[in-house]
Amino acid sequence: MNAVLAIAVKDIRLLLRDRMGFFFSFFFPLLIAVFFGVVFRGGGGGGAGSGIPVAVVDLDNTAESAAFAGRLGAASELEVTAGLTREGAEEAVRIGRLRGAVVLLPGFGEARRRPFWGEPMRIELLVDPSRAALASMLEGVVTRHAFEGLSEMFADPAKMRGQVRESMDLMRRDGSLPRTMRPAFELFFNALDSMLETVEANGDADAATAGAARAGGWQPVRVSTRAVTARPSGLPTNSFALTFPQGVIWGMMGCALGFAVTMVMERTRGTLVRLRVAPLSRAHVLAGKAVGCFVVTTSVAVLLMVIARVAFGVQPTSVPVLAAAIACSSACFVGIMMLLAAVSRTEAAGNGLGWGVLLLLAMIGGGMVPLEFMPGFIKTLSVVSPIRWSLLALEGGVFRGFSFGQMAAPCAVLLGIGGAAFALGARLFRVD
Amino acid sequence: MLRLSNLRKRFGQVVALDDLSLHIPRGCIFGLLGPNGAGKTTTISIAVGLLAPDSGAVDLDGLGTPARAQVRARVGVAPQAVALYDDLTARENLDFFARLYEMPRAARRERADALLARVGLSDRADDRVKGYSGGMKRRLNLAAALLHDPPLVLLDEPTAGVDPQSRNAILDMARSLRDEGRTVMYTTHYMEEAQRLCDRVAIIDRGRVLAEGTVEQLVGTLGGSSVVTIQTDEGDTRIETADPVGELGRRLAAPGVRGVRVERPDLEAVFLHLTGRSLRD
Ligand SMILES: Nc1ncnc2c1ncn2[C@@H]1O[C@H](COP(=O)(O)OP(=O)(O)OP(=O)(O)O)[C@@H](O)[C@H]1O
Ligand SMILES: [Mg+2]
Repeated sequence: MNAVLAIAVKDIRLLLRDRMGFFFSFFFPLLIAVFFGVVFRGGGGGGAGSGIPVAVVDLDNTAESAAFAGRLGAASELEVTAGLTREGAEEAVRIGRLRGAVVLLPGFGEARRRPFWGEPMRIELLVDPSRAALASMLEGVVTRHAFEGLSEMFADPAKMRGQVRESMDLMRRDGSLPRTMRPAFELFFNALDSMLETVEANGDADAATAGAARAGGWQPVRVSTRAVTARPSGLPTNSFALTFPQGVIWGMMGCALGFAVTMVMERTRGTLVRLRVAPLSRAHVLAGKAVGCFVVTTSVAVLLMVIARVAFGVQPTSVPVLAAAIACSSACFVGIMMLLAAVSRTEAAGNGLGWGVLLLLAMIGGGMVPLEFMPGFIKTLSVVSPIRWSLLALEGGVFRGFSFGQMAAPCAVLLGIGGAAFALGARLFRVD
Repeated sequence: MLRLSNLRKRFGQVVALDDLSLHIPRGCIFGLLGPNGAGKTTTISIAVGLLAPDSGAVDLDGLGTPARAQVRARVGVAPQAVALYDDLTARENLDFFARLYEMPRAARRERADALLARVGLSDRADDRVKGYSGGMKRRLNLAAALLHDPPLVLLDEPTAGVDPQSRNAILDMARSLRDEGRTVMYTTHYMEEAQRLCDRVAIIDRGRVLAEGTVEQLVGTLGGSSVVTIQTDEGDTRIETADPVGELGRRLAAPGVRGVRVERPDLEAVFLHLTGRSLRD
C-alpha cells in the first residue's frame, strides 16, 4: 500500500514540475472557463456581479407603477428584464433563466398616491422556495426602493404638499375611512400642510423627511412571496456556471494525458524496470498510477469549482451531487489514461494520440461548444463521448439541480466507460 | 549465489540466449564480457525476473526464481539505460525507490545520505537529475541499486559512456561492494575493465558461454603466446613465445639491442582466439 501511495505521490510531484503538464491541467482549463464565461455573459442572462436577474412585471400600468419599475430597473442589485407577462416571468423563473420576478399588482399606482391609508401598494415576488436567502434579499431590495420612492416625495415639500392635498381630497371622498376618524385626519393633514409650508419656506427638507419616515405604524407597501419551483433545465443564468464545468473537463483531460505520458515515460526512460524489480506486483504499479491520476483530476476539478464559487459566484445547486459527478468523471478519465498509456509506444505518440482522441471526444461531447448550440446529429453522436456524460453530470451538480437519482445514469455511463477502458488498458499495458 | 541453468530466450527470429548456464559464486565480482548483442542484458533481465526465459531455470541462493517478489528483493540492479526521474532530485529519486521496498522514513533518509556520499553526489543531492552529467547519472543509477542493501548486485555496463573520473569511482565502488561481502555481477564489453576488476569472467557471444574462469586461467589457457619485440638498428624482431622472460634473457645478451617490448596476452586475445573476431567490432 505504501508503495502504491509512493508511486501516486511521485507522479503528482512530476506532473506539478512539468510546466507544460501543469499548464494543460490547470491554467489552460481556467483560462477556457473564464474566457468563455466572459464571452457568454452577454447572451446567457445575468453574469457574475451584475445583479440578480429578475423580471419586473407591471400589472398596474399606471404612471406610478411604471416609475417604480424604472427605479428597480436602475437598481444596482438587480438586473431587470422588463416586458414579460406574469406567466412568462413565472416560466422564466421555473426554467431557471431568471432567479425571480417582481410583480406590481393592480392598484399599485393608486395606493402609491395615497400612502397613508387604504390598501398599501402590493408587490408579489415569485421566487424558488429553495432560495430562501434570495427571497428575503429581494424583498428587502424591493421594500427599500418603495420607501426610497416615498421619501423622495417627502424630500420635495412642494410635491409633498400637493400630495397631502390630494390625500385630503381622496379622504373626503373615500367612504371606507371610519367616520369617527375623519376629524383626526383633517387635523393631521392640516397640521402637515402648514408644517410643509414652513419647511418649504426654510428649505429644510431633511427634517420633514425624517419626521415623516418615522411617523411609524403605517405600511405603504405589502410584499408577498409566491413560490415558483424552478424546474432545473436549460442554461444557467451565470455564464460561468456553464463554462466552469467545461473547464473542469479540460482540466481532467489535461491530467489524464499528463499521467498517460508519465506512464509511457516510465517505459521509455527505463524507470519501469526499477518498479518491476522492486517487490511489487503489476497491480501495485497500475494502482499507484490510477490513484495518482484520480487524486490529481479530482483536485483540479475541486480547485476550479472553488475558484468558480469564490471569484465568479457560481453556486452549485448541490455540492454532494457535484462531488459525485467529479468522482465519477475522474474515475472515467483514469480509465482513459490507462488505455492511452497502454497503446502509446512513445511520449510523442501519447501526446499526439491523446490530444487527437480527446479533442474529438470533447468536440462531439459538448466540451468545446455547448451541445445546446450543436446540430442535431452531433447531439445524437454525443452519446458515445464520455465527455458528454461527464459534462452532464457536472452540470447536474452545478446548475441543473440533479438529484442523486438523476445522476445515476450519467455516473453509471462514466463508470462503465472508465472501467472498460481501465480493464483494457491494464491488460494491454506492456511492462517490457 | 546465483545459478543460471540452460537458459534459452528468443525474440522472434533472434536467439538472444542459447542454452546459457552460469554459476556466480558468493562474494566475488563476476564479469560477463561480450560484444554488443551477445545477450548480457538479456541474461541480467532473466536473472532478476524481468524477463521469463523460454526454458531453463534461475535460482538465487537456493530460494528459487526471482519471479517471486521476496526473492527479487535480494537483488539490486543498475540497468544499462540510466533509470531515473529527470525532474526529481537525486535525494527524491532515492527516497522514492526506497519506498518501493517499504523502508521506513528514517531508514530511507539515512540510507540515501550514506549512498549519496559514497557515490560523491552529496553536494548535488538536491539538484534535479536533469542537470546532471552522464557520469553523475551513472553514479546515481548505481546508488539506486543499493538502497535496500541487496546481497546480490547486478551492474549492466555501469561505465558505458562515462568520463575516466566517474569510471574509476564506479570500479572502486564495485570493489568495495565485494569487500562488504556482496556478490557483484558486472557486464561490460571493455575487456580491460573486466581484466582489472573481475575475480571471474565469463566470455559470452551470441547467447552462449564461450569460456569461464579467472582472468589468469582464461588468459593462460586461451590467450596464446606472448609477443616479445626486440628493437635493433637493423629493425624490429617479433617473437611469439610462451616464455617471454626466458626469451628476453636470451635476446638481451646479443649486441645492438636498443629496446624491447613485451605484449602479454589478454582477454581480447582470448576472445579473438575463441571467435576469430575482435571484441571491439
Ligand atoms: N526486447 C527485445 N526484442 C527483440 N530483440 C531483443 C530484445 N532484447 C534483446 N534483443 C536481442 O537479443 C540479442 C541480445 O541482446 P542483449 O540486449 O541481451 O545484448 P547485450 O549483450 O546486452 O548487448 P549490448 O552490449 O549492446 O548491451 C540482441 O540481438 C538483441 O537485438
Ligand atoms: Mg546490454
